[in-house]
Amino acid sequence: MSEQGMIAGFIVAVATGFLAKRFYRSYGAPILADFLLKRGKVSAAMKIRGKAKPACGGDCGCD
Amino acid sequence: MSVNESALPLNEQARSPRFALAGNPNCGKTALFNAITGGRQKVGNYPGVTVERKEGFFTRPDGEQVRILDLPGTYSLDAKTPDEEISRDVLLGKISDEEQPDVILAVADATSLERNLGLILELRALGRPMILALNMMDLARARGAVIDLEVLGRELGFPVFPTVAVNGDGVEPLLAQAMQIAHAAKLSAEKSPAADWKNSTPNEVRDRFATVDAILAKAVKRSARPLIWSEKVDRIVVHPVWGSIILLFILGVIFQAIFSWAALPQEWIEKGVGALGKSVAGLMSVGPLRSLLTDGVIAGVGSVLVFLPQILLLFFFILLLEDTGYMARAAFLMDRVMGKVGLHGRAFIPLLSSFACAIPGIMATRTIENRRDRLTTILVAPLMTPSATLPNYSLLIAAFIPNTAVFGPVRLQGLVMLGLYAGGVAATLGMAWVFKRTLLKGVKPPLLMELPTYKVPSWRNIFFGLRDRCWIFIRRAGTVILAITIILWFVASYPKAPEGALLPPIDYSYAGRIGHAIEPLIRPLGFDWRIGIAFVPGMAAREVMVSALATVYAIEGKDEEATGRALSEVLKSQWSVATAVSLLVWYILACQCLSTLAVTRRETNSWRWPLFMFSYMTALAYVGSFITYRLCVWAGL
Repeated sequence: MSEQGMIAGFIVAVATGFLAKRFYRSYGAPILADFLLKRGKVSAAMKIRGKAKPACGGDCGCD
Repeated sequence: MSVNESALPLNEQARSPRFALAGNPNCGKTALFNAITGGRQKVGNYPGVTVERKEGFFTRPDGEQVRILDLPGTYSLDAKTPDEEISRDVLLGKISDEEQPDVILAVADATSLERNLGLILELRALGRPMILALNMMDLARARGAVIDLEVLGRELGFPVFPTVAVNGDGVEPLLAQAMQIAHAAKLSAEKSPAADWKNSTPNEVRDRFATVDAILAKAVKRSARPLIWSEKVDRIVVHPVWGSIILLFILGVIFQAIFSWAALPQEWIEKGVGALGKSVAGLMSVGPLRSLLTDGVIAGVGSVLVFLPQILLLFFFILLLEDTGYMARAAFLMDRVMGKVGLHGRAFIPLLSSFACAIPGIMATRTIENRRDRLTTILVAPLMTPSATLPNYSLLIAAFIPNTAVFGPVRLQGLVMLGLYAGGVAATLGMAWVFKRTLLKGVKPPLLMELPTYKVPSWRNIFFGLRDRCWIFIRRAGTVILAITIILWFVASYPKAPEGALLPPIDYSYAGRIGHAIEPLIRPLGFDWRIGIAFVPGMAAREVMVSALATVYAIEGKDEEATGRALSEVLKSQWSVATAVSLLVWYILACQCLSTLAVTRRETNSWRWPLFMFSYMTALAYVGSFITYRLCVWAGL
């Protein structure tokens, strides 16, 4: 793979990681926290809930 | 006075005096907050609720740092809405992670003391250290009011300071006195027990108003004259016919200005983006990184950044109308229409907020007590055109609608934009009408609202508001949109076309395959596979459609010149007018936003309603676009 290809691949990987983390914090974490809460695992739920962001990630100015 | 923008360290916060600004809505609390903190503040939410929490810091000349909270406006501590509950609970020290304020900086509108003093007496009953800023004293004096501040302070039992928050008059002595009170309070270190507080009984309310009358009789030598001219103006501005004409005229001016005034800065940004793309292409040899930067990052993100001036102009007008007091009149006018379709009067603010973004709009429905009214508002809020759709509208209008003069300075592009927003409002009202007569039947309660006096807008408030919107837009473009554009570039570039391939390389890519798979579904609407590709990432953020189309066409374009061409020119040469109009209708009606669905799920505590929202809006958009496309084709467009 060329040097340009490797750098481009790295940038794509970083962007994918960024979006995956954001997706988890906006959509995955609140659902997971609710799931754990319903099963009585309060401390785990609170820990996950603490890392959750509003669905918009605050982009709309709501957080 | 200097301002420390960042949050103070915890040990520092523990020593810092805490002030809380409390008062009726529209009494100038936020203007005072801006005057004290310089507008540099942290905006967030109170834990567990969606009530905005505004906190600022300032440093006294002696180096002492002070934390100040701007509490939501409330008419009474007998709270009826989540905003009012937060104000009361902060003052009572009942919010976890929020210490009870050391000093209550009560704010009252000097032009209507009889209304404001009720809350002030309730605050006094809490027994906390307190000071009163009698705000808008310039207006009160101009209207002939004569208030004896010494007598008023004596009757109330705490110091009273005259202020004019919009220009900072009286703020320094107010703060100096508040600091003294804070230090005295620290020595006594008393906190009022929250358990002592109870909602007022009717007798207590009556007694409180009798006390207000007694205090006013002693302290106010002459009340502020009613604003005759304001009432005269309101007779026209809130008149069902004349008021509606004025509202339409104002909206028309706004959309004309969005196109005319933004044209020049947009051209600069467009040229800058084009020149950057060309220079990057010139500096690097042909390869994946060059393609990623020019076809992906610069073409994609640049095509969205071009719309920054239009977004700022839209918010400039919204802030201006809010600051002058006109927005409340618009709410009053719209309540008549909203009432006819069965919408609750309190739905106006959530729906108005949805013009910025449907998410805060849906969150703001918490002020609606009735569940059915609230659900109706949530379900229709995404139909109000959010600002993220503005780039999509602008792109298509600039490409397909000629900028011809229709009447005097009125131009066709601005009129079409106004029509699109009106279409969103009509769809909102229409669907609310349907829901209130079918799924969510109910009686509409009356709306009681206060019309604030007309004011000269505070340019400082408008500047800070615009600065926030500018930052939000740039942050969004530099994070989510950038990341999506990079991934889109990858899926539109790989896998590479096989040797001797006849079709353009993008047809062999993942994105090309997905687009071609979607195409049969959207072909009846006049959309091709490229638009299909743009729909998928467009669910993350509406304006990504622009960057997605820019990336797809940049990768597909074989000639070097395509890199520098504006996206609108490319679309004009590739699409029919029927396709463009059909896509515009799609964007008025479709729920192209994953975050909106997630917030709806959270607010309704069920997946049923977001699924219903997505289904009905997609069906509506599909039918709307289909009919529009067929009509346009039939008309030969």
